[in-house]
Amino acid sequence: MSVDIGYELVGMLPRLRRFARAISGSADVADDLVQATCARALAAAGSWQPGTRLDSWLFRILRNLWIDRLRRLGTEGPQIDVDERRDLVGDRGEPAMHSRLTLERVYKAIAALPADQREVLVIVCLEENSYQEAADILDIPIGTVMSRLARARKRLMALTGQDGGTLSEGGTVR
Amino acid sequence: MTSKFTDEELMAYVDGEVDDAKAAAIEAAAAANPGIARTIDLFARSRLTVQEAYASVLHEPVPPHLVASALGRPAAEGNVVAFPSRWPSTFAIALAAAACLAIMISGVAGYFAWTGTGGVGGIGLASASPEISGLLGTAPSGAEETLADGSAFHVVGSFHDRNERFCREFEVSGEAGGSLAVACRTDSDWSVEFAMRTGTAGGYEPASSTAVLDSYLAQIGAGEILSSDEERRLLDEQTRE
Repeated sequence: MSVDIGYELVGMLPRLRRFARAISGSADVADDLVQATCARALAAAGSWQPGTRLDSWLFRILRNLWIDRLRRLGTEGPQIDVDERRDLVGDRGEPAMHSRLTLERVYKAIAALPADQREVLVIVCLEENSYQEAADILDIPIGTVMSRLARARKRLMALTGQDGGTLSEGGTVR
Repeated sequence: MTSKFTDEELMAYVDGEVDDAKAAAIEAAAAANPGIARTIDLFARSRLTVQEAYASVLHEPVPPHLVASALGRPAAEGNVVAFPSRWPSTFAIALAAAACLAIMISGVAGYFAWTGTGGVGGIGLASASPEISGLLGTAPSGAEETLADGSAFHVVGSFHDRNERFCREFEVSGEAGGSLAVACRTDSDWSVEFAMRTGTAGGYEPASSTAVLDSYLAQIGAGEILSSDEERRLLDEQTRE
């Protein structure tokens, strides 16, 4: 049965763009991914189960399209462009505590993460899915979600100089 | 001293993914061990760092071709005009009121009956329910109406699109959330051509409606918002037909 996901899809566009940008690191690639996601979602609307989260379903589609694209290109991660990123940071939403330089470091650090760590970081920390939802989107066990997520977050903080030097990658808290 | 909790456990505490008993144990451990407290703080700040880095994306205008894609329509080619800042301040206020938006899974969809013809995957143009159609043909902008099920209805504004069709933007809001939509007058009825969920129920993250709506309005070549006199004249004209 087909449902009227068109309404939902339109409202989801800002979040899909954010998600795509975070996992791809490129505004242009992100919008290509969002467009492809819309086409695929509308074509497969009947396979979405009403009552389940549409956003998770859409993220899953988008993430799979991104993986396909990486596979075709034979590249590992996002090709981040710092000048481009600078344009992305508008006056609105730019937190006072972060200088522009720090934001660039954050973008670079996220881009530098292994793809499997980056996607779980984005799905949980940016899109605020639970561990179980992340496991469903990525089709991996919840324990894997947690171990990748913990590594991603520690590495992010180390790469952005926010860990105070107290943690080393994979190290034990003392 | 080595923490008796793993990184994953402390992270799960930060993310609200542990039960109350474990949370209490971790809090007690953190109070006694600065190293544990620092690790908890690190995981909390890592989440904020990611969110802040991408916060601005939600407020960026959505490219019109993406709105067209989401609606299952081919994008207009080469004739997308810049959207004039035509809306009066009352419109801006109405949108600001709707600024805390959430994507809803259930609720207002019943007001719009999808015809299932055309479009992709069975999602085609929608015709409004008889009740909504009736109000679109009579209610002036700004007037609050109450639907049979108790939901509030009001027209935000009227305008002509590029093809000189009479179009109206309206909102429906009820307990289950709300919807912001644009309908245009066809030969015999109102065609709902754009709609997005708004509202606060359902636990979804707020998103910006203006980023999407402005893009859509630009795409259909929405003109100046009509004066109340002009709107009245067009409504009366169509009632007589």
